Amino acid sequence: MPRPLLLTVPLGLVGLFGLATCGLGDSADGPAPTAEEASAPAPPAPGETRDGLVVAALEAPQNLLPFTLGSDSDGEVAALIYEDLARATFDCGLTWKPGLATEWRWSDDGLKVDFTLDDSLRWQDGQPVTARDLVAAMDWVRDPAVASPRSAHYETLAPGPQPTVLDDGRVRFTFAEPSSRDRQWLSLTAVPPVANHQLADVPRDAVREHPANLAPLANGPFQVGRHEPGRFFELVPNPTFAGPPERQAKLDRILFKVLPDYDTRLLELTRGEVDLMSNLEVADAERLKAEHPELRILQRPPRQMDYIGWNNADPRFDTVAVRRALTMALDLDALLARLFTGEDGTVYAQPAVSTITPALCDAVPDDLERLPHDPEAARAALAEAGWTDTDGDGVLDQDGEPFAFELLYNAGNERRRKVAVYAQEALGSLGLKVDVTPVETSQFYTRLKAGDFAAAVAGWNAGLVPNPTVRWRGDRDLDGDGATDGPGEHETFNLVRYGNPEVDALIAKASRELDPSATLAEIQRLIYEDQPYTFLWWRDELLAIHERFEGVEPDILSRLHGAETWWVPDHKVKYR
Amino acid sequence: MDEARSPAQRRGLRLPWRYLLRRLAGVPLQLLAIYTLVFGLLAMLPDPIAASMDPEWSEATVTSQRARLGLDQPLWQRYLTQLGGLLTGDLGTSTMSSRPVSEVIGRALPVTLSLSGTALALAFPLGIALGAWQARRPGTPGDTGVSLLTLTLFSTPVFLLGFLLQVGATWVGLPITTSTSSLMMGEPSTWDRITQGVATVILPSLAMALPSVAVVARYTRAAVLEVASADHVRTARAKGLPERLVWRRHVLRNAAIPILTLVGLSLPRLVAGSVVVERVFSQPGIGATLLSAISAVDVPLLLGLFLLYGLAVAVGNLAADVAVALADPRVRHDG
Repeated sequence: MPRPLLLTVPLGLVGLFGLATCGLGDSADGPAPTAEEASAPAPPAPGETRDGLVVAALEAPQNLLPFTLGSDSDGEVAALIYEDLARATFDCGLTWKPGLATEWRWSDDGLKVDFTLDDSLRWQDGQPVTARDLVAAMDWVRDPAVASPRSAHYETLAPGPQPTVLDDGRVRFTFAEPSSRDRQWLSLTAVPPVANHQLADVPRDAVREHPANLAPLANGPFQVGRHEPGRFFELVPNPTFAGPPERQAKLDRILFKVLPDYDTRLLELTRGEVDLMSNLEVADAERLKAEHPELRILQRPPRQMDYIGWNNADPRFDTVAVRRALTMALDLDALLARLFTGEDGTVYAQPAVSTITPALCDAVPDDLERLPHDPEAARAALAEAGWTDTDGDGVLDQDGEPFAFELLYNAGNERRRKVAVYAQEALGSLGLKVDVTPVETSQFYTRLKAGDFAAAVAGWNAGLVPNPTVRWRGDRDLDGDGATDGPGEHETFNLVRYGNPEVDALIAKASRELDPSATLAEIQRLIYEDQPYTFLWWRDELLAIHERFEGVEPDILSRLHGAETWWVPDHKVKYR
Repeated sequence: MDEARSPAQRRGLRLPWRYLLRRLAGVPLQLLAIYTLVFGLLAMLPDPIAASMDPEWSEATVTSQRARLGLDQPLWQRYLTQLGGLLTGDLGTSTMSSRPVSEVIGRALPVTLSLSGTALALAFPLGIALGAWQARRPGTPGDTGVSLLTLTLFSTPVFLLGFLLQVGATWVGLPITTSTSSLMMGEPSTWDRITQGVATVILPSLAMALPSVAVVARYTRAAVLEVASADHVRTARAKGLPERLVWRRHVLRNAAIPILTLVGLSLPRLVAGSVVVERVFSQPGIGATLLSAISAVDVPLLLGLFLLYGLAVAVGNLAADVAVALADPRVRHDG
């Protein structure tokens, strides 16, 4: 945490003012600092920067204009160079703090919101950030010629130019129909303002080829520095950033060093060539903890889950009883413990019961318990569903058809391979014949989206605003033929072709609610009852960072969330 | 002295121009065939939009993305459009980086050329020297030892060689990728530049070269042994020619022919690079670009890269044929 301003007095002056400072603290601000506190290193003064952070990156950002942002690395950098209307923070759920807007007020019907803008904010070239830049962002993102990956977020807004400029310092956004407040915020902040004066005369369909796409003007704490494709990308403090002092950059630079290979990233981390590496394997995190005291291992709250998906359109998996039996046949707790427990007993994952992350504190119902591991009950349920070994060959069958299927996983994913092999063994002991098949990654997801599979070990990266529509809705008319879609015509990401009219109705209801938490809880209960997936676990993301950095808190939003507040004590500076 | 030279030598090493022109005329057709074949194969890849789409995308977003990548056009139209662009020197735009394909390739090519060029420059002299040394003493413990060594190098996966080299470099305190301090501190010192060169060129080149050393040495050993026992060599010795001249004029020169072919066939590797080595050493060359393009199903970039490979193979084969023709007059006259 940043130290009180009084303690930022240069060391040489401490002797002169120490007593007075303590006295002032005693009388006005509570107890005097302890000796340890008084000698604790101080963060840089506002405007002062020191040292740099080197981040191991899989790839460099490719598209940085607010409306072209695509990959995770784009988004990670964008969060540091743009000051959006409001800043997302996470504490059991998303909360919004003033950013470009100093305050806002929602209308009673929840369809309009007025923002008062901070008139002190500037683009890095000194031009003021105005309401026109917000209008420009909406204009760019809604233009089909631009083909913005973020355009879908604006379909909830009313047609026509948005936002409406009320006066120089106030704008109004209007929504077309009610939806949850979190989804509305997502629409309002998905695209930061655009420095439109940088893009004058740029053809809309060629904007990605403009140099501004990789070096846009910033209005946030950092701006784009040097970059060399495939090697590195640098952010440096934005001297014109007029945000509060605690949000002004305290590092000289953040350097993203492109290291596509995991082992090379790990080697560079242990050599001190990079300061931050994410997505560590459990075994590597354990080793680093034991052998590298200069590194801190942090656990980010989970956003990544694994599951075994049963294709509900496949006759073998189209009954609830069979799917529940398959889950009960698997000892998921033992598997989780085996894959995610460190040597000191730390468990780096938690059981999953839905596709909503448990990091959203109250979003997953407390009473939603996992099915028990009960192979005998599973065997009985399968027999009741008509699956018995009539020919004595050791494999269950029904109407002469053996219960045999392929269990796919994406090739190269060792964790999912282990899950598949375990399932093969556990289900095999019940009399199911399971062939474990690795499939090349892009082919794997193509087959999943096309419904071309029986069962698969896969996973989700969960959003922080639950949207059950894309994964679970089964009654949409996507092909526009006037009829509700049947199996094979579900939402693209309803991979297992799940369909439950009761769930569909609740999803439609939730999408119109300002606070859909109760409806979402009911949806999760119904889906868990139906077991379209065997939900496995939520994995913590493990990352390592050099111990010299202060102010670092693992954050679910991004590994670099709040990096503008990170700092290095003067005596630990590595790069001067 | 002139009598000791062969008729071909007396005529001088003239280029077989007619042969060369005939081969060159075939190159555009070869490239068109490669382009068509690769275009057809890439059409079978997963839909780039389906492979990369976000669950939050709406139908309108998907439609606009498809239009941006030209996927809303029928296949034949895309083929003709891209072919038309190719004929005017426009390889299209990389969907992954939004930069012209020629620019992306132009940026990666020097990296790969420096790595592959160094690798070939290391592999051939070393391989030829080792092979010739073995051929002079076949069956001896030295020959067997070198054979074992080259076989081991050849059998070791490149990623493992790269990793072992990185561990070795770490052990002696050398950087294994672009030095961070030089990136952070601005102007690197001379020592930084040297270690940087070792990390970014020598180590990856060694990882690429070592398996090739094994191949070249085996080729050379076999070729030299075959020629050394030929009748004309025995005759030369019987005529009392000094052993040094026998080896230089009659053995090595004739044994060079299959090795020259090998050199020519290795030229495409100059531009193809090594996917594994470039990834392990974080070098943004052609191999690394190919891997990214495959992951992102970046069809224009993949087409550009395969065309480059095709061109390199055609030129490499041509260069090998010309070299062999220069070294072996029979080829010239037959060709």
